Amino acid sequence: MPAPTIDVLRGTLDLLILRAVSWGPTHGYAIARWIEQATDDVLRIEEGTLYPALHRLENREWIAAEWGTSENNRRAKYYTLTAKGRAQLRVETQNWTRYSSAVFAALKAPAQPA
Amino acid sequence: MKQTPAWRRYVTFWRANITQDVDDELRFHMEMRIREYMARGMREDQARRAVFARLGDVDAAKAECVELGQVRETHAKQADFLDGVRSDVRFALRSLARAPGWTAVALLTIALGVGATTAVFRVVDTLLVRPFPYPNGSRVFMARREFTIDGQTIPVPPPSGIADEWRKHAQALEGAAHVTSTGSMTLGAGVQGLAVHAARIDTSFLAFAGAHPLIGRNFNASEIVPGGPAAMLLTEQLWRRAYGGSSDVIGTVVPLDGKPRTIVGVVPASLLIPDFRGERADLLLPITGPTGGAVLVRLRAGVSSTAATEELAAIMKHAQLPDIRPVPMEMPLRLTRPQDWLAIRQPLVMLTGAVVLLLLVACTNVAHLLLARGAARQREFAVRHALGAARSRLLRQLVTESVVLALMGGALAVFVGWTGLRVLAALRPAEMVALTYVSSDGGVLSIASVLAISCGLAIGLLAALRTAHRELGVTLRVGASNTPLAGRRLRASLVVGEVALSATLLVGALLLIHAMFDLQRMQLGFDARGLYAISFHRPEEETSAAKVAFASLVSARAAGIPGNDGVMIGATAPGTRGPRMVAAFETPEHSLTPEDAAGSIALYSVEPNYFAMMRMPLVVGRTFDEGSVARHEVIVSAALAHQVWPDGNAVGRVMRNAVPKSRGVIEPWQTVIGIVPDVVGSLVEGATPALYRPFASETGGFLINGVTLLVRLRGDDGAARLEQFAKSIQPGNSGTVITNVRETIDDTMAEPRFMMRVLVTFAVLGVVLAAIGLFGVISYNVGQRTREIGVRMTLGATRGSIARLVVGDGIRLALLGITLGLFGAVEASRLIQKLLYGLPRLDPFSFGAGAALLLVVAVAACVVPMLRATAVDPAVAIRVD
Repeated sequence: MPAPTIDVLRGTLDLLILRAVSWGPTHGYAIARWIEQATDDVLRIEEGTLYPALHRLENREWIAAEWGTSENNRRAKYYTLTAKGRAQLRVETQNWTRYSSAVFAALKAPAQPA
Repeated sequence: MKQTPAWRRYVTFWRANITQDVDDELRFHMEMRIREYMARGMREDQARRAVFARLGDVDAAKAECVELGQVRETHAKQADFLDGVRSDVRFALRSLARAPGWTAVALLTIALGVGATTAVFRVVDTLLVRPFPYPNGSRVFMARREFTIDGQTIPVPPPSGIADEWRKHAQALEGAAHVTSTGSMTLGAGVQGLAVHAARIDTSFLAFAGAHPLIGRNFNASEIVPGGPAAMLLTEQLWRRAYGGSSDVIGTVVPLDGKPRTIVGVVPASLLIPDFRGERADLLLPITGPTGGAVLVRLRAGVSSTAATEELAAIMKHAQLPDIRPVPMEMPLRLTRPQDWLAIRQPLVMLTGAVVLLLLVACTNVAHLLLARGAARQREFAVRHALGAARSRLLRQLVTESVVLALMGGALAVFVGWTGLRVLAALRPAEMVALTYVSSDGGVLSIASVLAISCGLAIGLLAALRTAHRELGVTLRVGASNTPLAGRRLRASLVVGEVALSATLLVGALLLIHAMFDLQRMQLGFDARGLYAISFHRPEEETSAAKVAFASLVSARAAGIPGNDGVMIGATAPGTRGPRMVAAFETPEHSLTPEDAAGSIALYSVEPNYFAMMRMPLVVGRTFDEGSVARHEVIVSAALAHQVWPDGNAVGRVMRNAVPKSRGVIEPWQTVIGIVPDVVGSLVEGATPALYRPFASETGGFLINGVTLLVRLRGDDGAARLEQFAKSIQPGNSGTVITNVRETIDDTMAEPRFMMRVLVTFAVLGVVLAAIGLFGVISYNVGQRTREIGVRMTLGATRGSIARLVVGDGIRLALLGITLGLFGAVEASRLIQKLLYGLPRLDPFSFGAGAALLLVVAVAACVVPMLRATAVDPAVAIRVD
């Protein structure tokens, strides 16, 4: 393994799930795979936390679920983004961007305050 | 309105087994992972092990998912239910709006039924149920003595000073307070004098009633003894009205009946001061001497009123009180609450019964209306059932519809109830003071809404049961044609019940109206035309001589009143509250045994020309002259003469009142010199026996509370002329009371008149509801029998015979109801008779008119369904299914 993987933080996981389902109906495995691939396998999903997170988001009505058939003809639960979830995704993306750039700016700042 | 999110409908597909679903989801994930790893070159068992390692604690994750799923399911169920209700309500509103006429009738029915019930419940709650508005009011009683005479119970105040004894010695009591009222007084002097009503209280009354003076203080111990500083408390109402609510009044000295008194405090408007004369007190005075009224007592928790009565009576018996005099009859102590004093208690209970029945009638009416909406509705339900709507869902729909209807009706009913209360308060007889305390507050709203919702549920269930009875599938196949016999019988009997109830109410109302008409024309025994009584108020403290002087002044001036046909000082007319006497007469031939019941008779002290003035011709004998007092002569009324000497020869015989014997007084024998007709002072009671004594002017005894004057005037403006005369005698004194004798006598009918008006209202309501009920049932029947009518017409029935068929149905039901109702009316008239003297029980006019009126209404109610039936097109009716 080239570099150590980082466990995904809880709040971040919600954001990533919302992003993952924003292109259309997606099942849990695909969500996990997308996160791994999109982050070049840097972020690793602990599957034990992914599913409760999915169900929590479903209860909040940010994502909706329906049963469908997978590519290999298996019964799978597909998640889609709801209107409420889309709004949430927008807000959280902004928050995350602001947060990370603030942290980044702080890290890059000159040694000591004058 | 929020729409159901589309995804929710999928919820149902996996709702069945949450655990299974969570398992499936995770298994799918693992299988995909294993395939991924195997694709990367792992062996299957390696891949499986790697996936499990990566998954972590699967069971915990599963458990969490299942829990979340359960939460989701509960929410979904609730949302589903609310959605269902919402769409039911929407559906109900739409279907109500489609039939505006029908909806209006149904709403009116509910509004009238619920509104009337609300108003009556509110009155009953206030008059019959509510205790004294004091702390622990349910344990507060009023202690009074009472004696029974002529079947009437007359309250007697407890002896003065007993409240202290009870407070000191009674184990059963938590507290006691003495309160009484003293009629009309004049506050202030000169032209600004205000007529006020006063009540007297002891120092413990305010604490007893849980009230504190708004400003100032309660009476203190020195003010409560005779000769102490003269103090008074104003009520908040008088304080605001007369002094603009200024706090400067404390300490002000104001003349009350000419005697200066210091205002020491103001009591809040919320304090209820018991009234013994039907007037609300404007100010409070300390009890300083022997007075009447009653003692209010608060029992300890858990003490029964019977036990308390026994203890209090025992204390009273042995108390050393100046006011306890030997009394000729038993005067047992009684503890009562406000609801016990009400003379119209029984009628009110009747009223409640009647109004509950009315409400029931209204409910069944609406249920009928709901059913009578015709076969189309049945088919609609059948179709929906066939399309997969559960039976419970359809029933819910029906119940929702009726609850929506009932709530809308309930909103209207609040207005009906409010108006009803206002009208009741406006019509109330003077004695029903408590009715003014009935307010149209939130109570109306809560009663109306509870009633409306329960009605809605009841109606919905009634209608739903009918629908549930029926095999929905069968309806769809063969069409709505045959109603089960049981349902038909039930409906028919409900309508018969309605008609019977309204017939009873109607006949009862007509009986009262008729009887009151007769009473209004009753022979009074004297001529009341143009007869007025004036009473001038004089301060109690005035000397006898001063009162006599005032009386002669009035007498001299009164002769000059323009247009007068006679003036008589000190005389009382029947009906104006004259003195009554407890009497049991004995004659030399017939001495009384102690068992002989004492009766109450009217006692008049009259001048020789009194009978001429009253235009009462002597039946036999002669009137008084100058020497009558010395000779102990009396004149008796015809009824009294008959009572004492049934043989009919009264003139010249002697008798005396044996009642004072028990006080050790033996009256001299009195000689009857004449007989006069019986006079009527109260239309409700009829003629009462009366004893006339010669007027002994030198005693001045009649002047205790003031001077009364009887005047006969020509013309219509008598009252105005007398007012002018009164002003010329006592300018500014508003304590003068001028009464028209005829009006006073008519006022004795206030209570029956009130009952009559209420009963008339109820009867009209009942008739309207019965008409709606008949209309509903006949319409329903016509709707059900459309096919049958079509067949009949095809087979040659004329429109006339169809009309007869339909109307005949209605009339059969109505006749049955009317017959039952008339039997009910015979019973009801027995109750009404207690209220009104001389009410004929089987008055053919009332019974006949009531029955005829109802029959006409019944026929009218059948007209619309009849038109609908005769308009049936046989070709369409037969083909319909």
